[in-house]
Amino acid sequence: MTDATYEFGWRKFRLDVPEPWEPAHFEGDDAKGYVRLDDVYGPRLELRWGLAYREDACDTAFEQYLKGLRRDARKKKGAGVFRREPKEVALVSAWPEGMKGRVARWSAEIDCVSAVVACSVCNRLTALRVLFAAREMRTSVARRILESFRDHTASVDAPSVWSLYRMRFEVPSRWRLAEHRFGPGYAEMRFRGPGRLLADVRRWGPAEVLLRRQSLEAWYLGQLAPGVRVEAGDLDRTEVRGDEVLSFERRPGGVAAVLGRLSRGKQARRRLALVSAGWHCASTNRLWVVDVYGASLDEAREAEWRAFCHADAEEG
Amino acid sequence: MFGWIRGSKKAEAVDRATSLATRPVRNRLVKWETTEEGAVLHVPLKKMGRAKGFAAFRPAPESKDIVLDEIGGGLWARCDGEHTTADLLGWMRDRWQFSYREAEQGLTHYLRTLAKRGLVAFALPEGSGARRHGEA
Repeated sequence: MTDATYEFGWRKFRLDVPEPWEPAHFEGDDAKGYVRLDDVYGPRLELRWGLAYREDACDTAFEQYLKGLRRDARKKKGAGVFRREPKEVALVSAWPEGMKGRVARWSAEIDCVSAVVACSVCNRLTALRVLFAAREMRTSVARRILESFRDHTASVDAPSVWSLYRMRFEVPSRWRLAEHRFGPGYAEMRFRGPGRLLADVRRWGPAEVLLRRQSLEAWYLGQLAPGVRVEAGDLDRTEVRGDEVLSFERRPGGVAAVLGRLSRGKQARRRLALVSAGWHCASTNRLWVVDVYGASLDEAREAEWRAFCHADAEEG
Repeated sequence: MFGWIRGSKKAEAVDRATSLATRPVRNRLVKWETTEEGAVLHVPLKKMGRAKGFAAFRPAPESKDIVLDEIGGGLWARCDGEHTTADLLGWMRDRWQFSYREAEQGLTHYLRTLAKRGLVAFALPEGSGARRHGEA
């Protein structure tokens, strides 16, 4: 197992995980959900979260978890189901302010470090399980993951970090992930902000193959949402850290603007103001398109450049 | 119909470590050439019975061509029985900067498609104990 790590950011959680561990399964939303990270050999880390408002939520959930483990072992009827009985360990020396956690270690057909962490600021209760193959427990890896674990953003205005599959960007904390789709060479995330704000972040790769037969300009125009008509001459060209960025703004007028404020769904997107940018990130060999829709052009323009920083997107 | 009498066997599942150690092997009947954009496979077609009507005037093609892009072509070239599936994953990550998950998803889909069409088979590592079957 390599010692290199990266910051995994998902639904306001942030933690450092070994590089080969990547998200393989997602469920739920900010209030209740599940995410699992795998490496090539199987599951490595599980996070399951929900809201809990009781002060003793962490202790109760932790005791219930251990009780459940022992009950499951008894049901299996094998005397030696546990090679090492579940036992609380002081793996994390100090949890960050506002967070409380308890950690247990046990060994059966797999080795596992489990933790229950409660955040008093956002009232989220999170169960983490770091999984290892039998007799391959690496306490240092588990400690590093748990010590780096952070819930919620520092303040209401602080952006939340989304970091996975070698992409990383920041979104204002009030924005929520509405949809996502990840596939080989393609990633799409849709965020909803306050009011009518909506942002689509899309990434394709490898750019080297996609741009073999066409220019960045032709490719970008081909990726625009249905109903958006822009000529090549209307595109603005800027350079950010050596990468050419193509962009344009659309301000609906007259009847379309009124309808945009009233309608919902796909029709609304056609009638809202749009700020769009597309670029080829040479360092990661990927192509990006970020579309931000808003009730007015000013709203959409401001949201985009605060929400999605090209420099941040390049990192990782 | 009466498979239950014989007790028909399902193919044994191959664990993840074994599937990473399998070596994809190209079908030798498929001729192929590399191009600037990737590779072209010439897949021989089954010979049909005597053609009727107007079809009799038009000779049936002996093969059909499948065009692969650079990534597909590179993978095809490495399906030589020497490279393991893990090697192919490594190549996708190093050459094309795919993440682990992206590479695994893409490669699994690609090899499964090739296997369904009978274009590749998989050599299991010695001593794996699993039966040969068409998919990784």
